[in-house]
Amino acid sequence: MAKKNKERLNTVDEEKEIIDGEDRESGTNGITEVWNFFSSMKLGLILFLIIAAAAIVGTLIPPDPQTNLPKFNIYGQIWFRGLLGLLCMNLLVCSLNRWKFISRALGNPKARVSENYLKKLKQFSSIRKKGNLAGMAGSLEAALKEKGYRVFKEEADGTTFLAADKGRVGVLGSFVTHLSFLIITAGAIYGGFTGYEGFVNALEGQSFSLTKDVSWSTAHRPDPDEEFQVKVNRFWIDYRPDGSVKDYYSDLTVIDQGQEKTKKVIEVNDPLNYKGVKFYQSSFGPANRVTAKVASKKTMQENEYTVYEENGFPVEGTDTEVRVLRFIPDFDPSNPGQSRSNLPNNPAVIYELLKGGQSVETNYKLLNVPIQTDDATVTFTGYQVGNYTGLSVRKDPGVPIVWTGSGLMVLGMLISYLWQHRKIWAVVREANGIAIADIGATTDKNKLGLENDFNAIVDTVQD
Amino acid sequence: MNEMIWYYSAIAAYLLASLLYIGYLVSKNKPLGDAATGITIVGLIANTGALVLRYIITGRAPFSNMYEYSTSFAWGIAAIYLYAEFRYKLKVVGAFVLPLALILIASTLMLKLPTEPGNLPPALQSNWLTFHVIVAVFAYGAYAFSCGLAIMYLWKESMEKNKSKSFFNRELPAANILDELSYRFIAFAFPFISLVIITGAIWAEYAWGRYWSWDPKETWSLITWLVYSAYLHARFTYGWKGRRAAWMAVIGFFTVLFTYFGVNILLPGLHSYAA
Repeated sequence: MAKKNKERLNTVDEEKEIIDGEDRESGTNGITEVWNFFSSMKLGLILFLIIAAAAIVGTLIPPDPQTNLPKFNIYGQIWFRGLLGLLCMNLLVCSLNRWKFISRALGNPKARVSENYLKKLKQFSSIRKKGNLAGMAGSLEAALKEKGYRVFKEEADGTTFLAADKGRVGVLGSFVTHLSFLIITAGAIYGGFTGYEGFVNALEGQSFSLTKDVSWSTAHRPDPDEEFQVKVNRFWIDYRPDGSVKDYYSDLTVIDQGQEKTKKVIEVNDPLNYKGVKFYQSSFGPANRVTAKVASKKTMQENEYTVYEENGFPVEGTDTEVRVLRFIPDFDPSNPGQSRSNLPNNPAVIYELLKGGQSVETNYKLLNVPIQTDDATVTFTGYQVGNYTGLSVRKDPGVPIVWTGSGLMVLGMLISYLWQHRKIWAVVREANGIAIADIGATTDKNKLGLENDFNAIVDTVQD
Repeated sequence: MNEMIWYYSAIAAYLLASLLYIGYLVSKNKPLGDAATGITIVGLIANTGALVLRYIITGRAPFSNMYEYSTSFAWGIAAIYLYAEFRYKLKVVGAFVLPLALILIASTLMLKLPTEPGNLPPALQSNWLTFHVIVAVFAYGAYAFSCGLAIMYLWKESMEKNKSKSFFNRELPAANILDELSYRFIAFAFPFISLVIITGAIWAEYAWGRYWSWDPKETWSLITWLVYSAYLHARFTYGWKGRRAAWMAVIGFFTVLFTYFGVNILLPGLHSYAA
C-alpha cells in the first residue's frame, strides 16, 4: 500500500509539471532540450513581450500622408509573422502537454491518497469523533453530496478512502481558450491565402465585372469562373438638418450569367454579400454626365449621346471621336481648368477630338455653342451633375473560422469563470471507538470558494 | 445646457471624494471615510445623470466623442470601485482609485476638447459600437481598480520589508491581500478586454470589410491584451506575485490609458476621432 501511495504522490507532482507546460522528458540530450524550450511557458512569456514591443514600434511609424498607411509595415514582415507562428507552436505544444492532465481531471479521481499528501494541502483538517468508521464515512459522503460533489469510495485494510470533486468541466475552459487562439490564427492564414481584396469606382446606371473591372490590392484574385457583374442603380448621400453627412448609399443589383440574382441598398456598416464576395460602401466622388447632339456631315444623320466625363462618342460614318474630358459648371475663360463656383453660371465642356484614335485637338466650348469640324457639327446641349460610388470588394473565406474561434474564446473563458475544479479527499479510520477523518482539499482557482465548501463540510461532519 | 450641471457635479464629487479618501487614509477617521463613500455615490449618480441626459438628447448611446467616452469610462471606474468597496470593505483603496476616475472625467476639460454632442459619422453607426464600448467600460474600470491596488501594494510592501513603524504600515491592508485582489480584478477583466477586441473586429468587418487591419487602436488593444496575458500566465504557472506582478499591473493600466488617450490624440488612424 505504501508503494501505491508513493505512486499517487508522483502523479500529483506530475500534474504540477504539466500545468507548468514543461514536459520534462528524461534525458538531457539536445533534442529534448530544444523540445522543452519550445514547450515552455517561458518561451510563451518572452514571445508575448517581444510581440508587444514590436507592435508598439509599429504604431509609432508615421503614416504616409497620401495613403494614410504606415510607410513601413512591421506587421507584414516575415520575422513578425515568424514570432506569431512561434507563439502558436508554443501554444499548441503546451495545450497538447496539458491534455494528459485535463483528461485525467475529467475522469474519476483516485480515492486512495496518502495522509502525508493530504497534510501538505493548504486546506487540511483532522476530525476525531466518537463513533464508528461507517458512520463517519457516511456523514462525510452526505455532506459532500449536499455541496454538489461527486463522491468515490474505496475500502482497504480497515480504512475508507473518499475522493470527491466538482466543477471538473472547468479544466476545459483554458484548453478551449487556447485552442480558440489557434483557430483564429488558422482562419486568418486561410483567409490570407484564399481571399482577395480590391476597389472599384462605378458610375450610376453602369455595371462592372468582378474579374475585369476591380483593381486588386492582393496577389490572389478571383478565378475567371467566379465572374458576375454588379450594376449600380443609384448612389446618394443622406444629410442631417445641420448639413453633416448621415450616411452614404448605393443601390446595387447582382447579375450572374445574365440573370438578375439579388438587389440591395448598401450603406456604411451594411455591405452586400453575394457568393461570399462582399461589397462595402467606401467612398464617392464627382462624376458628371454631358449630353451632346452630333450631326454627321457624311451621313447627314443627327444623333444624341449622354456620356460621363472621360468618355467619348463617335461621329457616324467617320473615324472621328469626341471625348468629354471635364464638365465645368462656372467657366472662367482666363482660367479654363478651374470652375469659379459650383453654380451653373457659365456651363462649359472641355473636350478632345480624335481622328483614327489620334488626338488632334483639345479645347473647351460653352453649352449650346456648336463646334464645327471637317465632318460634323457637335453641340453640347445638357448636363447632369452626379457622383460615382467607390466600393471595397472583399472575399475572405477565413472569416467564419475567425468568428468560430472568437466564439470559442468567449465560451472557454465563460467555462473557466463558471466552473472551478475543486477536489476533496478524505481518509477515514477507526480506533478504540473513535472515528478519525483526515480531510484535504485543493483547487487551482477561487481558493476562497473551496475554503467555504471545505469549512461547511467539516462543520457538518463535526456536529 | 443643464446636462452639463450633472457633468460638473460629477467632477466636483469625484474631486471631493478623492480628497476625503486621502483624508481618511491619513487619519482613519470613520466619519471622513463614510463621507467619502457617500460623496462617491453622489458622484456616480451625477455621472449616470450626465450620460442618461446625453442619451435622451441625442437618442443614441453616449459614445461619439472623447467627452462621452471619458465620462463613460469614469463611470466604469467609480462603479467598479463602489462594488469592490462594499464587497471587500477596503475603504482606503479609494484614495488610489477615485483620482483615476477624476482624471478621466476631467480629461475633456483639461485637454480642452468639445463637450457638445458630436454627430456620429456613418462608420460609427453600428450596434456593435455600443456593445464594444460597454464591455470596454467594465474592463477599463476593473483595470483601473487593479492598478490602484498595485500602487498601494508597492508602497505597503516596501514598508513591510523595512519593518516600518509608520502609521500607514499599521493601517493599510496587508500586502498579500492587495496583491491577491489586484490579481482578481485583472482576471475578471480579461474576458471583457477579449470581448472588446472581438466586438471591435466584428464591427470593423461590417464597416470596412476587415476584422483586423493593424490600425493603431487595434494594435494597442492587442498590446494591452498581451501584457495582461503575460501577467496571468506568469502568475498561474510561475506564481509571479508581489512586486513583479504589481509593476505589470501598473504597466498594463498604462497601456490601457495609452490605447485610449495616446492613440486618439497622438496616433492617426480609423479610431482617431478626437479632432
